[in-house]
Amino acid sequence: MTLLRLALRSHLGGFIATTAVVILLGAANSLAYTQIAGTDPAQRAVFAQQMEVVGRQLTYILPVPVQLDTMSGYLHWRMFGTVPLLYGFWSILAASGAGRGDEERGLVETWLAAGVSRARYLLARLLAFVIAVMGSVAAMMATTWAGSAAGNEAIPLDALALQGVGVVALALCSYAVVLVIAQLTVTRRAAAGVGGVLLLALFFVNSSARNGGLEQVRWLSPFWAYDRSTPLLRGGALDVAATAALFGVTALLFAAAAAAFGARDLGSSILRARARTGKPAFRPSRDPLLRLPVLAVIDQQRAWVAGWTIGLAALAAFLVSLTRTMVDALLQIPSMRVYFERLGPAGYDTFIAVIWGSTAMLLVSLFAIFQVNTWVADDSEGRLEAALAQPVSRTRVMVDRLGSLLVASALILAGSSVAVWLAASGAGVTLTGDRFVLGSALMITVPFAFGAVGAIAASWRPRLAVPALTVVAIVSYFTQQFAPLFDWPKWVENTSIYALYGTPMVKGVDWAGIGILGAIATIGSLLANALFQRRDVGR
Amino acid sequence: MTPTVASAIETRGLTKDYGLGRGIFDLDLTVGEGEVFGYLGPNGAGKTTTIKLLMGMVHPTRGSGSIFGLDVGSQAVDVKRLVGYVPGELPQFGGWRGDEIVAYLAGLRGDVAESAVEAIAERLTLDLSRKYRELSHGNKQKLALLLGFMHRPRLLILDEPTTGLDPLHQQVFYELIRDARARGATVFLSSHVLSEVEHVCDRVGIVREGRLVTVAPLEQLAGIRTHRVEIEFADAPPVDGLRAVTGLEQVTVSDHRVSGMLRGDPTALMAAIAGRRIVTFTSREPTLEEIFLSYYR
Repeated sequence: MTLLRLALRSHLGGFIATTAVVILLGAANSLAYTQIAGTDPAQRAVFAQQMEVVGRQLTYILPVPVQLDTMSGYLHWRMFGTVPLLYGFWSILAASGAGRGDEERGLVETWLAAGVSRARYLLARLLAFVIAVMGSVAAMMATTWAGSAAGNEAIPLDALALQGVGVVALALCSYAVVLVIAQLTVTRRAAAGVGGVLLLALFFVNSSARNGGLEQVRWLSPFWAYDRSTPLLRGGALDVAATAALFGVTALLFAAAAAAFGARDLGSSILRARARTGKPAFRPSRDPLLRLPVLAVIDQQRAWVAGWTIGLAALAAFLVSLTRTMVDALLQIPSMRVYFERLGPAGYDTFIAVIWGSTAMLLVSLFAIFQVNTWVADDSEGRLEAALAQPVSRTRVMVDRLGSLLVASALILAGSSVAVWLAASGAGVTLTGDRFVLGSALMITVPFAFGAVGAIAASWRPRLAVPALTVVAIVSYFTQQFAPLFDWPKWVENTSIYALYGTPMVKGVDWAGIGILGAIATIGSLLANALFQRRDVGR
Repeated sequence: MTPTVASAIETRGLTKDYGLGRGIFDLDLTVGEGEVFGYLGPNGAGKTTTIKLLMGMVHPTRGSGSIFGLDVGSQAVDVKRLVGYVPGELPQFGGWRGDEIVAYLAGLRGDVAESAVEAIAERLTLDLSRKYRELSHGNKQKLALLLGFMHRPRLLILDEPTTGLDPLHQQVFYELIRDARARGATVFLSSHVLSEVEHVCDRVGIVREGRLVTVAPLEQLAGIRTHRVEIEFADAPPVDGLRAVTGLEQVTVSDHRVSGMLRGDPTALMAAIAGRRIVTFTSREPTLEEIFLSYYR
C-alpha cells in the first residue's frame, strides 16, 4: 500500500498539469462552440461546411471532421482529436520516470532492497498511473459536459463515458510502449526521447493513413485504434474490439517490460552493450566552446537547442503552408470573420502573423521555462556549487544563464522565422519584410522576460519557479486567444503578458508594450542577480 | 596553540544558524599557512556548514571568515583563485563525459595546466572518456579530487575526501596531500574517521553539535588515541587495581568481564593485569561519540 501511495504521489505533478490543461480545453471548446458556430441551423451549416474544408487540411493532426453542425461532432473532432497528444505526453514522462527516472535516483534499489519484487514495483507504478489517468479523464469529461450543458446542448453522459474509456485505453497503451523502451535504454532522457519519437511516428502513421498513405501499416498505431471509436457522433459507437485491443496490447507490453526489467541489471539496458575498448583518456576535452562564457552553456545543450530549432521551424512551415486554405474557409464563417477583423485587416499575412506569432510566443516561453528548470536543478544537484568553487562571481553565472537563454532563443526564433518566410513565399503569400524582421527580432523580449522572472523565482522560491511560470504562460496564451473570440473587455486581454508584445507584424510595433517587456527583463535580471548574491547555494 | 606562521584560514565568531540547534556557532578558528588541519566531528556536527561558509556558498548569520586575509564573502572570487575544493556531496553531471567536466570547470578557472590534469588523472587511474553517470561512486570521488587538486591551489578545502575510495586510492590521496604540503600548500580536511586524520594532519579541531570543542596538535590530543578495551578474566577481575590504572576510564564490571576506555600508554593496564588468567582481550578504536563522551564530557 505504501508503494502504491508513493507511486501515486509521483504522478501528482503530471496529474495536476495534464488535468488543468484538459479541463481548460473541455470548458473552452464546449463554451466556444455556440459562440463561433452560432445557434440557428443555417449558421451551423455554413460553419460546418467551412470548418470541414479547414479540417481536411489538418488531418495530419486532427481526425477527419464530420458532423460539425453539432456540439458532439465538434468536440469529437476538435477536442478529442487533441487530447491523445496531451495524454501521450504525460504517458511519456510517467513511463520514463517509472522505467528509468526512479532507478537513476536510486529509489528502485531502495525498494528492491526492502523486499519488493521488480514485477510488483512496476505493477504499482502502472496501477497508480491507471488511477491518475482515470481521475484526470473523469475531471475532463465533467467539465466538458458542464460546458456543453451551459450551451444548452448537453452531451449524453454515456457517450462521454465511452469516449473516456477510449482516452484511458490510449494513454495506458502509450505508457506501456514507453515502459518497454525504458528497458532498452539507459537513461530517463533517452527513454523519454526514444519513446516520444516512436509514439510521434505511430501518430503520424495514423495521420498519414487518413490521407491515403501507409494504410497497410496503420493498424500498428494505437492512435488508429483510438480513432475507430466514435461514441460522440450520431450513429457512432465505441469500437469494442479496437479498445479491447488497446488494453490487450497494454497488458502484453507491460508483461514484456516486466520480464525485461526482471532480466536486466539495474542501471543497464536489456540490450547488452559491447565492452569498451581503447585507451583510457586522462586529458581534458579539447572542445574550445567549453572554455567560453555563455557558449559553454549552449555547447552543453546543443542537441536540445537544435531539437527546438528544428521542431519549431517544421511547425512554422506546416502552419504557414495551410494559410491560404484555412483563411479562405474561415472567412466564410461570420463569427470567424469577426474574430479576424478584431485581430487586424483580414488577409493571409495577418493570419500568419497572428497565428504563428501567438504560437511562437507560447513555445519560446516554454523553452525559457525549461531553462529555468535547468537552473533550479543546477542548484539542487550540486553543479552550481561546482561552478562557484571556481573563481567566478555569481554575477558571471547569472550572465551566463541569461546570456545562453538569449542566444538559444535567438537561434530558435531565427530558424522558425526563416521557415515562416520561406513557407509563406512558397505559398505565394507576401509578408511585409521590415515588419516581419522587426517583429521576429522583438520577440526575443518574451523569453528574456520569462527568463528574468524565472531567475528571480529560482533564487527566491525555486520550487515555485516552474509551476508559476507555466501557469502565467498558459493563462496568457488562452486569454489572448479567447479575448477576441468572446469579445472580452480590453483590460482582460491586457492581463496576458503576450499583450505587451502585441501584433507588430500586423499593427506595427507597440513600443510602450515592448518597453515594458524590456523593463521586466532588465529590472528582473538585476533583481534576480541581487537575490542570487544573497542565496545560500544548495538549500 | 597559536600558529607561528601567517594564517591561511581565520574565523571570528562565525555562525550559521539553521534553527533547531543545527548549524555552526561562534567559530573562532585559525589555520596556519602550510598546515594540514583536520576537522573532526560526527555526522551533523557542522563540518560541512563550516566548509560551505568558508567557500562562500552560504552566508553567515553573524561573524566573519577570511582566507589568506581575504574576506570569504565579499572577496569570494579572489579567495577561490587560491582554493581547491572537494565537496562532501558529489555534484550530478549526468551524461557529461569526465573530460568535458574538467574542460568546462578548468575553463571557468583559467589557470589549469593540461599536464597537471593528466598527471593527477593517471595517478588516480581515472578514465576521463567515460560519462559521469557510468562512473562508480569511487570514480566520481576521484573526479572530485582531480577538480580540487588540478590547479595546484595554495589551500585545499576537502570535505570527507576519501568517501568511497578503495584503500589503494586512499593511499594515492594521502600522497597527493603530502605532495601539496611539500610545495607549501595548506590543507583543511574534514572527516569523521579518526585514523584518516591521524594519517596526515598536524593539528586537529573537534566540532560537536555545532561548536568547536577543542583545537590542538595531534600529539597533544592524547585523548584522541583512546581505545575501547574489553577484558574477560578466567577468575574474579582485579577491580580495584583496574580502577586505579591511570588513563582507564568508564570502567564497568559485569561478572568476569571488565570494559573501559583507555587513554594513552597501555603499560599501567598491562601491569595491573599481569599474572591474571585472561580469556579474551579486545582493544578497538572508539567511535567519535565514545571519545566525546570520555574526553569532553
